Amino acid sequence: MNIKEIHAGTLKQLAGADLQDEDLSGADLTRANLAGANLTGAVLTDARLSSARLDGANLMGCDLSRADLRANCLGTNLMQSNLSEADLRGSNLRGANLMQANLRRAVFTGAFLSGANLIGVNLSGVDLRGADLRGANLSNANLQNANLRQANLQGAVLTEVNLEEADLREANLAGTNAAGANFLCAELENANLEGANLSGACVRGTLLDTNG
Amino acid sequence: MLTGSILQKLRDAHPANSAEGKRALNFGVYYKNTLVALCHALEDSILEHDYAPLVITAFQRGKWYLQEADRYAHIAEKSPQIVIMAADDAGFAEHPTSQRDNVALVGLDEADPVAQEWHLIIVSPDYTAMVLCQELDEADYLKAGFPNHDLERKFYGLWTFEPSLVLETAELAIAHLGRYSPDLQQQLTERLSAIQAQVLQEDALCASPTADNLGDIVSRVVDYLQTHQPADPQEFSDRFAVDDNLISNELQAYLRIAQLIDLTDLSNPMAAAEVATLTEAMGQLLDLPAWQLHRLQLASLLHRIALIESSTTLLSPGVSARFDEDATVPLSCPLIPGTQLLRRMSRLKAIATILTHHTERWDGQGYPAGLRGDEIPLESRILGLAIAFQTRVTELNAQPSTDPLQNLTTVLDQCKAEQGDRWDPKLVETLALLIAGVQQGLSLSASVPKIASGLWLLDSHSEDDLLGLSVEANPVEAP
Repeated sequence: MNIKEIHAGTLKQLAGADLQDEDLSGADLTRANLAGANLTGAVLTDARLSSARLDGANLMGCDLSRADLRANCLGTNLMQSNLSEADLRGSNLRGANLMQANLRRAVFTGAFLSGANLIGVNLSGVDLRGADLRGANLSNANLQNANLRQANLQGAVLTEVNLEEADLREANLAGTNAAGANFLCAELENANLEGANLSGACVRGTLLDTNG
Repeated sequence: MLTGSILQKLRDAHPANSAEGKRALNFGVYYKNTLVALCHALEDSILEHDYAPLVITAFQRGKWYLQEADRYAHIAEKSPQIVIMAADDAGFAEHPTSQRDNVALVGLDEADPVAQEWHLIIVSPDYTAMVLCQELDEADYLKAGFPNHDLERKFYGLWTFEPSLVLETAELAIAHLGRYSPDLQQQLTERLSAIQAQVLQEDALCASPTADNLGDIVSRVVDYLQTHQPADPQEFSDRFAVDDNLISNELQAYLRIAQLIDLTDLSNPMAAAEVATLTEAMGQLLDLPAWQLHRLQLASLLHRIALIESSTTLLSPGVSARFDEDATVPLSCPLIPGTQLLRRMSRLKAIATILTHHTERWDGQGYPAGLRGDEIPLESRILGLAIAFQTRVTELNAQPSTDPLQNLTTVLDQCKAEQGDRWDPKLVETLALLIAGVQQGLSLSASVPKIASGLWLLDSHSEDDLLGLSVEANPVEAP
């Protein structure tokens, strides 16, 4: 495998390649085909991966901080990866596994995260405007201060999730299971809560806060 | 929200989607640690100036007041009337501060919901501010449980400098006192109406933010929040949340000033939100990275702070924050008072730089630094164009019988005529593309941001040194 060619952006056909633990920081992987590749433990900080194919690839423990990952990550394994300040706007992350990933200030505006595994992740202060999170599992996740305006969370699992001060204006929360969730001071103006399970949830300081 | 609490009464007076044009209130979460810092900062502004305000406080229990009673002795020197509400505790009434003629103690009933609240309400013609919140019930902490550390106790509510809201709340608080002391209620009502009359006067400073009045107060808030890192953070179960709460409120201090400037400019009250929408759309067309879009958005939301002036140079009060189309004379001092204010928060370094240079011109004839072409930070160029565009369109729309869509074209044509001199031609092209989209039905809806949670706009890039003026030496690698 010629790593220099990958860095320079001349080698793009990398489907199924074994790139475990390789240093690809800053590499030009725009439109590269990395479907099914093994990138476990690889360093991809500041790498450019826009329009790349990463479906079915294994990026477990990969360092993707500040990378441009506006890519196709269908079912990609991103468990324990570092995605801090990565650009994931509009990325296809359907069914991806993001458990224990570092998502500090990652940007998910308009990303497709339906069915993704986000159990227990820290998404505090993350931009998730208009993201598609239908059926995603976010149980025990920290979404404090996150921006979820116009996000679609229909049918998502939000049990014991922390949504303190989150912006959920015009978000779709229909049919979500938000039992035991913390909505303290979340903004719920024009949010759709039809059929949502809010048993044992804290709704102080929100539109749902009744006098008592 | 507890029925009969002052927070609940204020909330109910501001329902969502109200027909009377009152905005629904936007609540935030405050750790006690943050509350103490905020209150000290707002109180110390009383000590530093001669506002002579009416001060109404609620401390939950007498013991919390006693921790602050020595401070309140100083505040009482600067205030004609202070009211302290708290449930009676031993020593509450005996403290020397409590004995002063201008300090009125109100011993709350244990069952009074106000005994679960924490308030600081400051009203004077030149300075209005308040912190209004209520403590969470034990059950509201959910599985995290009630905190062990006193400073980790959580409250929810709001703080603001907005004169109309503060006056409205003072009325509610005074009405509440009536059940304990009708005489005090009567006396405070008279005092408040005198202040209300003065607030409406044109020379009242509380409604016209200037760099050396409100700017000074905001600087104090930011400084106090920055220095209020707990002495022993290890004791906290979640120190990151406590820290984030401080940072979030520093940012809020600025967002609230920007909001106040918008509110006081009746001819252009949506400037911040509309400019932010324009710059984000332009940034997307330019395919800027996400961090740069966030930075641009934050600079847009705060842009009016850059335009506030020092009251000593203010020629006509009330128009201080207007975008000045003719301001081409370089200032003798390149420090812009408004952006200096932003530099108090190191995380906003890049934002302050963007705002400082948004008045540069493409041909190098602008101010404050006379930067030319690509020397001007890209975000400053985008922002300068977006602000001018929004201001001019708003002015045209205010004229009777003009067509909003036609106004977009008119202003765009003006910008095209100025490209190369005033504006970056590439950016005028981008703006033209955007406006063409709007005319074909693309909707650009501007909405006011949620002030209590702006953290999503801050990342490591908001601290960048944009002009490379930092003295940090970068080791040069040999080829």
